[in-house]
Amino acid sequence: MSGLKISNGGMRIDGRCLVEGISFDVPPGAVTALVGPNGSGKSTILRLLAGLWQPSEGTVELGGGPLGKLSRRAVARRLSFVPQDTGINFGFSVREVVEMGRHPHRGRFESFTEDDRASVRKALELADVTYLVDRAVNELSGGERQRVLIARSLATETEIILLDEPTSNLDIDHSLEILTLLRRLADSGKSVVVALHDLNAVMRFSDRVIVLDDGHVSACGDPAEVLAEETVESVFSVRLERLTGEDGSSVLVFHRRDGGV
Amino acid sequence: MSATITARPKAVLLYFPIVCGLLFVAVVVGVSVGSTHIAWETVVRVIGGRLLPEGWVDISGISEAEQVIIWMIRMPRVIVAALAGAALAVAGTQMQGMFRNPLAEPNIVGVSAGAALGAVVSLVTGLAAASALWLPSFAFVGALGALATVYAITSRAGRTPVATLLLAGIALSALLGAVTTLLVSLSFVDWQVAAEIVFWMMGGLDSRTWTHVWICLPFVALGTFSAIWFTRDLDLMLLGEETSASLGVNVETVKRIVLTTAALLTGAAVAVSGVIGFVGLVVPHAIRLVLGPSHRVLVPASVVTGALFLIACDLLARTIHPPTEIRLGIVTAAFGAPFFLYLLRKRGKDLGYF
Repeated sequence: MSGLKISNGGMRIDGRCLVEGISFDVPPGAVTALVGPNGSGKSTILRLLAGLWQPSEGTVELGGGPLGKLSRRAVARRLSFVPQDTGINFGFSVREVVEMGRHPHRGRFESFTEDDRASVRKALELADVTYLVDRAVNELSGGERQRVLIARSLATETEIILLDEPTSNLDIDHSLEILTLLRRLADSGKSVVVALHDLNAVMRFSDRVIVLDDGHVSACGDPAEVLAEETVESVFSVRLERLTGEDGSSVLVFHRRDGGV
Repeated sequence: MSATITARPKAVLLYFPIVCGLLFVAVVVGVSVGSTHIAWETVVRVIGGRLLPEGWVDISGISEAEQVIIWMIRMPRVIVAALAGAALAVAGTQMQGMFRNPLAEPNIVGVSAGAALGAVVSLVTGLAAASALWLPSFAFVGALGALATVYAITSRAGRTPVATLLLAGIALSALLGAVTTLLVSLSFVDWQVAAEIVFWMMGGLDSRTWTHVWICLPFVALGTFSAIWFTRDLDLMLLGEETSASLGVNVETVKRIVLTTAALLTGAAVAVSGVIGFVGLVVPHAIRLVLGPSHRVLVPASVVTGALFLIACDLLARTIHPPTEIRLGIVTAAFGAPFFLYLLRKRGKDLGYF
């Protein structure tokens, strides 16, 4: 097990219920996709798993104990989180941003060690951003910046990586690149949890999908089975058509329910 | 003028020796220039004679009057300028980092306005005339009081959103400013008090003594130490609160400490120099263009550059139109504002304003 687990987790803010009764384990060496309409609780669950929010009900456990009892640094050494991209206003170099990923492992005034440098180099290579190291991060394109942020989280060398809609601002090619990278990370043994909108990407790149509907888990399991007509149609309020791709995989096409275009 | 990223390490290596050299020159010139001009060798000898162990520097042949002018009159003034400049620049750096906004400055959370109100209260009530300690104390209380108020209004369930903080700070600044203006207008029944207040609100370093140095030095030292302690946390905060929290930063704690530090520094500066604008905005901004956004470099660079900037401005304030002194706040604004507009026009695109 990755050791990350949420049991009966619920979150309320000002009396408004964001999610309720959420329970699942994060499997190691796999991509777990969180899908659901806007406002269904994907980001909330990621924040609970990352320990950024304390659940109002239930527990989040990391390594057998409650995550809330661990220090921020101890959590940061075991799981990294890539929030939705909001841009960066300050002209750090890509290298500086990725080096910040080493923060949880360094003492306050400790200088950069050879280990730190090796982790940064590896992260830059994995995310394929080595050629960008001397560029200013506020001058990058959306796709480049997203890869840099992922490199930053890889530099921490955590077992668990959580990502909130890493492909939402990207064109087709760049999102495929990010998804392939996530697939590779999972294959190398990391636990990846990712919120996604594109159900076809979920079918192709994830091992397990958790479908959220209005703050509840409505289905959970193997993407090919879970993303069946009745689940998708009821959760997303659309009509689903399943086509077969040239390699025999299924491709989902969505139609508005009222039949309009 | 902006260094490319690859040139930054070299720029850092050059920056500190150059600015420290200029700082030394500024101190010597600042002490030697005045109503009576004193030769710079004399200045160096007297300062050396005072700072170094006895017998190292020969100060024989320098008149008592010159020694008094150098050490008791001009030296404290220059040191107060250096401390206030450093304090305002570091406070500005901290605010800009915390708000993730290169336009933030100490004024923005109402700290300066609070300090100004405190000082004006001490002047209006006549306490300031009773002892030199009252005005700085009131300024401090005002600065920290303003911060506490803004913080209390904007915190909910242990979280303080910076955008809300900013808005509350602007509103509180306006309110405190109105109260200050009210007190000033009421004080016009006594011309002397009114003149003193108006002068003080324009900022100035006339007749500063060693007392003023000792009043602000501990706070400036403490604030600078705190700023240096939290440089890495502030760097991470620039990536966003959730990112920095996920990297192990205790975001709310850092925010509280950074705000208190900035209030302490601003309070210390305002207490001994009156209201001086633009230092906290322009100095960190200019340094960032040359040395990059990392606070590990930015904070120490702000200390030396802020000190240099305010000593130079004070020198101008004294020498532009003798024997009248131009108020220091006018000089910093006269240089700071156009320079800032230039930066905005010239470099605004790099900083993401256009």
